[in-house]
Amino acid sequence: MLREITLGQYYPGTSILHRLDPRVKLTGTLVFIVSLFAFSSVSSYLAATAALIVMIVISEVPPGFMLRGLRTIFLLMLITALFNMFLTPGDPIVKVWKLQITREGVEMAIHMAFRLSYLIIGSSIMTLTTTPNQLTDGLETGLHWMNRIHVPVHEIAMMMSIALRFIPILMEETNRIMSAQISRGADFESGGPIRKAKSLIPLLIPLFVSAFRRANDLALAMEARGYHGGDGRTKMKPLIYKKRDRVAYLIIAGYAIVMFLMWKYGKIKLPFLP
Amino acid sequence: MELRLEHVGHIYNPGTTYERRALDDVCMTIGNGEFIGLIGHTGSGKSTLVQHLNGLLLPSEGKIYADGEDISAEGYPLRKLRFRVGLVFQYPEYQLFESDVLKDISFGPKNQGLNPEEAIQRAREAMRSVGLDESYETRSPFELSGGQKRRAAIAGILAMNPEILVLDEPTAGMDPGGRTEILQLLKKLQEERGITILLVSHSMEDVADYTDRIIVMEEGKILWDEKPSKIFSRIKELEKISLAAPQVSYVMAALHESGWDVDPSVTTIDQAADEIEAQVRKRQAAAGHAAAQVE
Repeated sequence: MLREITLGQYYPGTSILHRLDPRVKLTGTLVFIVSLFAFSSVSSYLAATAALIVMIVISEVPPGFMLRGLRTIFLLMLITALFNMFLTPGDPIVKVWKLQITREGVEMAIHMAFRLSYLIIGSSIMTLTTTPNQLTDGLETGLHWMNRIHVPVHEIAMMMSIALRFIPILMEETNRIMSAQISRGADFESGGPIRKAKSLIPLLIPLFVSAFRRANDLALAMEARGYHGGDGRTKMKPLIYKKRDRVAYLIIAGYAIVMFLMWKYGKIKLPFLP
Repeated sequence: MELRLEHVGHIYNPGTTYERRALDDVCMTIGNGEFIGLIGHTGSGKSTLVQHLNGLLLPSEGKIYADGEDISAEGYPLRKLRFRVGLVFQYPEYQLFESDVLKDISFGPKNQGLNPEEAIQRAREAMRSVGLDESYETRSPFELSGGQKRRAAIAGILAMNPEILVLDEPTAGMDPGGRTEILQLLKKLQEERGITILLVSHSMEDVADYTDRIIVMEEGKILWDEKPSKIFSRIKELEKISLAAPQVSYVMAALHESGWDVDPSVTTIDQAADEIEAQVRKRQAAAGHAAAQVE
């Protein structure tokens, strides 16, 4: 199941989105998410949809790949929608026993469903076109100013990229240890919750031991190469804005302005509700 | 017990972009107390194949029969099969987890449903057969040396009394002394307890000295399944699939080519030494004879 989460997975490619500076993509994603939650007229949804479709097309990532990420949060979306439908106070449309569905509730549920799925698709576009390393690089350079208020930006970015790098390694390790213990007759599936939890011990202990071992090895290897944190550290591939990045910033600003104007002047009620 | 593989194929992630065929039409029968070597370079499908032998992976194509029963059949007790076919993974020391060695080794027997005393008894026997004495029983598996950890891990599988023992590169990353000890231990198990051993390796030297039969894999297929001497006479073909025959085979082949009457199919250093000595004696005797005649 874990294998199906596309969020945080990179899809190799050479599209213009792949080549953009990660800072641009981070800003763009941030603006997009804010626009989703701040503005909520039908026209702004149409604009957001158009923007998403354009991005998916120019990213050259198969659309099925993006939508796969939605599948994993489908349950979350369903629960959110149900809660919104039943628990938002307002004009009741349907009343069953003590539960009532309100008009506001339905509106809210639709809003939330759209927002959540657009949020996932939007951030998937970023993570699918940006390697984890570029992403943390972008964060580090983009948030460099926070150093002045004593936030250890470099260290945080380093921890993030190491953590991301280790996810697939530890997943593989988990599979391996699991197979090995199953070969010794371990049973991870049957029994009640307590027995199940207990049966995880032969998996978790070797996994932790190996994580610590790897962490030690990595720390040693880093020190052996003279790593001592962020001070005075230069980059092999420093992030430099190119012309396409400036154009992309302009487009993002344009998107934000359009969304704002639509919200201000173009309010249209949801047409399919009374 | 007998394991029979009939036209087994395995495909990882079928129907996705990551689809990859790992096994292709594999047919073999193992399990009458032989010592079998399974060789092939990285990615040839060895590890996938061994995971089929105890039902960790089920074939995508073809059938596997354990004593005549299809292991893919619904309701087949795969867990029981895993106790009969012991599988030792690569770097087995990374699967140790208990607070002391004896407890860890008795994990398998306990899962088999033996009562605690029996399980401990089995664990003690297994420890003895891998050469760990009582002083190790109460030590934490994490404070052992690399070689001792590996023995403890192998003992963990042995304690289940498997009829077939499959080991995936049991000597990887060990020094020559440790390698020999592990291999001799396996040979002893095979000879004394009649356990069928399947040793996965890419080191020809390892398999040459101990095995009765060698299976060579390449790109998911079985290329050859023959006696060691026959396999190693295929020096040129082995090199083509980036494997090498034991160094002895090269020496013997070279001697044979330059006119010495030695047997080039010899696979172990001891046999080679005997062959060469015999030939040298013969030549000396002939030379002495010739010298005597001249006089």
